[in-house]
Amino acid sequence: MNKLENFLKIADTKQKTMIILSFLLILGLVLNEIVPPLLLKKERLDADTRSLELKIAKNSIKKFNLKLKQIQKEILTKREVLEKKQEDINYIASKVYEIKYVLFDDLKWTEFLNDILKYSLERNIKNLVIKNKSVNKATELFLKHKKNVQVSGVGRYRDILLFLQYIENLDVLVAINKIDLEQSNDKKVLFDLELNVYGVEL
Amino acid sequence: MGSISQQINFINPSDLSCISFDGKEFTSECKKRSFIGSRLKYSDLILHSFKLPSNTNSEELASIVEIKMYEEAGLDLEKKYHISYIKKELDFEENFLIEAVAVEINRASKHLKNIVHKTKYIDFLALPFLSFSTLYKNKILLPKNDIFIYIDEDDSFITLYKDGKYISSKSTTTIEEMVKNLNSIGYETTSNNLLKILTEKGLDISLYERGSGAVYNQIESEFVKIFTKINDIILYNRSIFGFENAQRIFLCTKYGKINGLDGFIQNFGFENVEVSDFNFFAQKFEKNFLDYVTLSYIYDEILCDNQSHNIDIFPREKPFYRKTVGKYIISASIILLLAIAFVSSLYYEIDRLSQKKKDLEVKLEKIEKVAKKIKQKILVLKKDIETLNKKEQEIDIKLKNINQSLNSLESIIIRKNYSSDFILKVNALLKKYNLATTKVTLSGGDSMIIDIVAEPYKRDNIAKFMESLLKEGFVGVKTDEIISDEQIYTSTIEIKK
Repeated sequence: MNKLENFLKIADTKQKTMIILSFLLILGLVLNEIVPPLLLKKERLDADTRSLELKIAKNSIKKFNLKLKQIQKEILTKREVLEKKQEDINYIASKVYEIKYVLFDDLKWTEFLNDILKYSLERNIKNLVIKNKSVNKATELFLKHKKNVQVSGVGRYRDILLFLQYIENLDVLVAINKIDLEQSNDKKVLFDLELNVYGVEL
Repeated sequence: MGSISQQINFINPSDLSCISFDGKEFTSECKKRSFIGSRLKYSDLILHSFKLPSNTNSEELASIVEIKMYEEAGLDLEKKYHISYIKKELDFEENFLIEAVAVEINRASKHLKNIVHKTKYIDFLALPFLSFSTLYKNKILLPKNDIFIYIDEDDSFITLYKDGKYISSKSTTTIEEMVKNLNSIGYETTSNNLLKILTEKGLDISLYERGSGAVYNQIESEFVKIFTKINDIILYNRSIFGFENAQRIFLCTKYGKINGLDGFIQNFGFENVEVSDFNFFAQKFEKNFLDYVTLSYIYDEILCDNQSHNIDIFPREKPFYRKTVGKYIISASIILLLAIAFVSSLYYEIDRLSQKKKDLEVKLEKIEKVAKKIKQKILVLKKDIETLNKKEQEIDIKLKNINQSLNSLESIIIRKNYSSDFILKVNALLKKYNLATTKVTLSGGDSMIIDIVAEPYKRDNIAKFMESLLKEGFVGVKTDEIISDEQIYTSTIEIKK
């Protein structure tokens, strides 16, 4: 150390500068080997962590839970709405079914034919012909067009009108589509009725 | 050395006793790490005086002094010396007088080895004859023509000061030499004993017992020699420095003054001279008086940062940070430390980021797992929503159909007896107007076409019938024609509800 001290004491500026520059050069070279890879690594890690943080932010559990709750709430609301609508439907159905004659089935059809025949006899209607054709038209409506019925015969005008009235007042949903009345030679009236029979199916 | 704010220790080179001074008072308590001062023995000094032109610059002066000392003072080239000088202005010449002082380092080291062994260094090693300047500087003495004589066992010297300025010094007889001379006349004594005799009896013959005359005579002759030498010095310096007469003489041993000195000096021819010892200070001491003077001098020199008369042959080693190599190493170390700190900070940052990345990855993995589950739940719930939407759509359609169906149902229910009522109403009006019909066609329940037959006299009734129909609220009552046959009128009437 003393030798070095003595050397430095007598060393001129150039020598001292050389010593300082050599030291700085060596240090610079060493740092140049060490620092850039470290900086690169740090930069990558920075980018990675930022990316991860972004992903975490995007995949926030809170966010998902919030969304989940929203959906659950939406479902709950929808269910309530549906229940309400279903209740409405049920209420309407119950009210509709309170009207007995809205239903139509084979038994009712049989009773309907039977009633017509019976009443035609009461009204002395002759040559009674009842033709029917089932309608199987696919429809979403609950009021179904069940049959097309054609009734024809001969009778007195008044009886035919009463007969017509009777048909209209039967416990079946009937819509008279067409009525043809024509006087025959024997003072009787020929009639030809076209009826649509409906039934409710909910 | 810089200014001081603490005390200075002085170590006596002979007995290693230590005293300290803080600028106010002397104490015998020497603190460690204080400045350390001591003095050289006069016998260790090689003095040589010579004149030089006053225009000699200080750089040349140092070289000239060194050369002169080797050439004229006979310094041994084989030995190491510390050479310094004292510059004295001359009253009558333009030249100045240089008093060069050479100290043989090995010789001085032998005398000071005990101090150096103890302290490792001596901050200020004083030339003893310069010490008296402190007395003038601190106004303890007024500047006059003063002679200081210090007599010790192995070190005695005479110093002359003129008007407070040092002008000359010479060695003189030591106690040991006096002892030797006393021994040669048959009086066996020791240095301490002689010092005791000097302080107690000194130069007062009346205090000596009978039979001790030889001793007194020997002592007196020693002092005669001393003062004869002083006379010579005065004569020499009178011509050079104008030192006419001594006004004060201070003579001291390490134990103080010599008894009977006043009378001796007066008898010797120094008339009207004040005689005293070295007990100059307000604080009074019992021995080592020169030490106090020298300590005060060292204090002054250090206070003034004057190192020119410091024989620094045992310098305190500079602190590492004040050495050139120390400065380089410290600077390099700081740069290295900064570089290491920078690199370390990078490593630390990388380590921190790596750890953070790991933590984030673990966190993300956990979140993704949970998120996946939640997403699956959400997916299921979305399907539920879809199902519910579908169901809602179905229900809506159903409701729409129900509404439509209800409307249709309502119209069917409302239109019960609709066709028969239509025909009966029309039939009632036909009867009212005695009209007969041959054909009735009813379409959709709202529209009726009726063929009417009327006898000629009831021809107007067709119109009335139509009018009545309108009155009854039928909206579309019209006929294209009424055909008249010879016997009957016929008409086809269209009626709408």
